[in-house]
Amino acid sequence: MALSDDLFLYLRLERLMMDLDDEANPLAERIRDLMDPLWYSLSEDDRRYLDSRGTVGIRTLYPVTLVVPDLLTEPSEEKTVFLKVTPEDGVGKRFPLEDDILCAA
Amino acid sequence: MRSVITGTNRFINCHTVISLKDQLLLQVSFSPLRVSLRLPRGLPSHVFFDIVENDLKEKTESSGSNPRIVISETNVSIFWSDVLLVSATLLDNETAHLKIDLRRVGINIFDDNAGLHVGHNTLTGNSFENCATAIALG
Repeated sequence: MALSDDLFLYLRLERLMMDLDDEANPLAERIRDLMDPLWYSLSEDDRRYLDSRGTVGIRTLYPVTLVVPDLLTEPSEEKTVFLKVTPEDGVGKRFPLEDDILCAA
Repeated sequence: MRSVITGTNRFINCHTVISLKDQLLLQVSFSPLRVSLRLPRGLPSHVFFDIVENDLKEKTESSGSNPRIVISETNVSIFWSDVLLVSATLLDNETAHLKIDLRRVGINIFDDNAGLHVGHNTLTGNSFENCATAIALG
């Protein structure tokens, strides 16, 4: 489902409100107040989607969060140096099937 | 000089890229670009289909809509479900790049930046020239 900008904002505020609620932080109530007018500005489809969720767990708001410390790397600029393979009986390289070539998929 | 490039290796004037038990498994032909991917019967994965020069000749009845062959002037791609098995792309009239990943159909062959992986072997930077079969399995 593609999120509208307003729905995305609503979900972010909802997440913040729930985090603050967990900490018994009174700011949660202020966030809840902010969400009210936003709720009424949402489309019917967006409100229907929010109502259909039932009990909202934090994991459904952010189902997958990845920490990727090595995401960015320097690109390799090596140029391939080719090693010529001389065919034997018309075959370049032969591998036995015992080399883990076939599997059940 | 017809060349196929895959996984940092190149295959020049090779009739068959890969054979399995002395039967043609993978072949790339030019003018126009054509791919043959001919799985043998009886694989441990129980997958079978026979694609000859972009044309699906035979497959198991339970395959559903698989495999799927997508053809354009400069590319031929073969899919199993939503997984790409083989994609050949014309770089020029006599050179094709070949992306391979047959793991989804039970054959441990795929390519990446490290090379062409065949089982637990990795081929890197090899030039196969004038072979009837470049890589023979079994």
